[in-house]
Amino acid sequence: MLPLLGLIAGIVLGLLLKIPVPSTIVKYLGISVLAALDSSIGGLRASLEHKFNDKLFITGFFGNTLMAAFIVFMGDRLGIDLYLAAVVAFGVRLFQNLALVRRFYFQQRRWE
Amino acid sequence: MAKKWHLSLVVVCLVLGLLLATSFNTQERARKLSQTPRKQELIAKIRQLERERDAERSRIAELRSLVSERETRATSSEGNLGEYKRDLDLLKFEAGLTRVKGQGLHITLADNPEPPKGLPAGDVNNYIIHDYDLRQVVNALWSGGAEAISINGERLVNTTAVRCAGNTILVNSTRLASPYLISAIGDQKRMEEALKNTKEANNFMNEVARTFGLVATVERKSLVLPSYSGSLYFKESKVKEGVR
Repeated sequence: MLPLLGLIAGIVLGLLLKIPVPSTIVKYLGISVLAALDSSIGGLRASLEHKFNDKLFITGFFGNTLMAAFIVFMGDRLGIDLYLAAVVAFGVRLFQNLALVRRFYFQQRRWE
Repeated sequence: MAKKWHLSLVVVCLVLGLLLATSFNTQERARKLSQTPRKQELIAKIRQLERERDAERSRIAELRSLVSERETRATSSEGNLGEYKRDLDLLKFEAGLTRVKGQGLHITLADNPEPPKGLPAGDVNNYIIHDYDLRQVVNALWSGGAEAISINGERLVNTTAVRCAGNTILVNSTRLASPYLISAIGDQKRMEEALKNTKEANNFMNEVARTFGLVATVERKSLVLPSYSGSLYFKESKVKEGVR
């Protein structure tokens, strides 16, 4: 319950603060959001598997988010479209984790 | 353990929400910007600023009439101020802050609405009136002893610039468009001669205008010129004491 409240508070805060983002950074912000989403869903999956590790989750979340932006930034500097790689990698994992979460949920309810 | 577990999730969710909302906001703004092209936005901004300027101008006019009313009242109640009031009126008149009337020249300059025959149609710049054309005419008029000049109702004073801004001409930071009606009060004969004898003005009024089909007419007229309606704001310059 509390995490959900945190999520809502974060969204409201973000909408209210209207943090100005320079157009050059928008791309990195997008990939960070994707990485953050991926980490969260990953955390959800881990908790359902009873493998959830508090420290791993926190470091993974912030580490992934920052590293994703940094790697895309490096790719831009080096002339490699790492943006696509990041989108594909995070995207594939996001959907995989979502599918697993769904499966766990079904198993818990014994609908299968 | 359970408490700690929650705390980390709360922090993560907060950051996630923040990132999501910021990303959403940014995207939304980018979408809005691309929907209203920048040009439209700038035009709207200019319109709005011009409305504000007009409001400020009418306020200036209001305040100036209030000031002169107070001056009149003050001088009528205290007799010894009458002389100062007369000096003040004279200075205002000389500075272009009063309406003036008199005999003078009325010059009409207008763009050619269509490209002149026998010339490539492409370059619009060839058959419109430019800021330097206006300056040449105005300078010729001053040199011919003009006492007061206005262009399309904008009185020229000592801080006035006639300059180009896109496809309009700015006088006293007001945008003017063709036709340009220049009114000049002064000795009619002398001003006419000045227009003929100043090389650039004469060249423009006759040859250039004829070649490119521009309207350029001069007529003698009895004129009324408006007062200067802009602000008088001296921020950097100070009165030098001593020798005048």
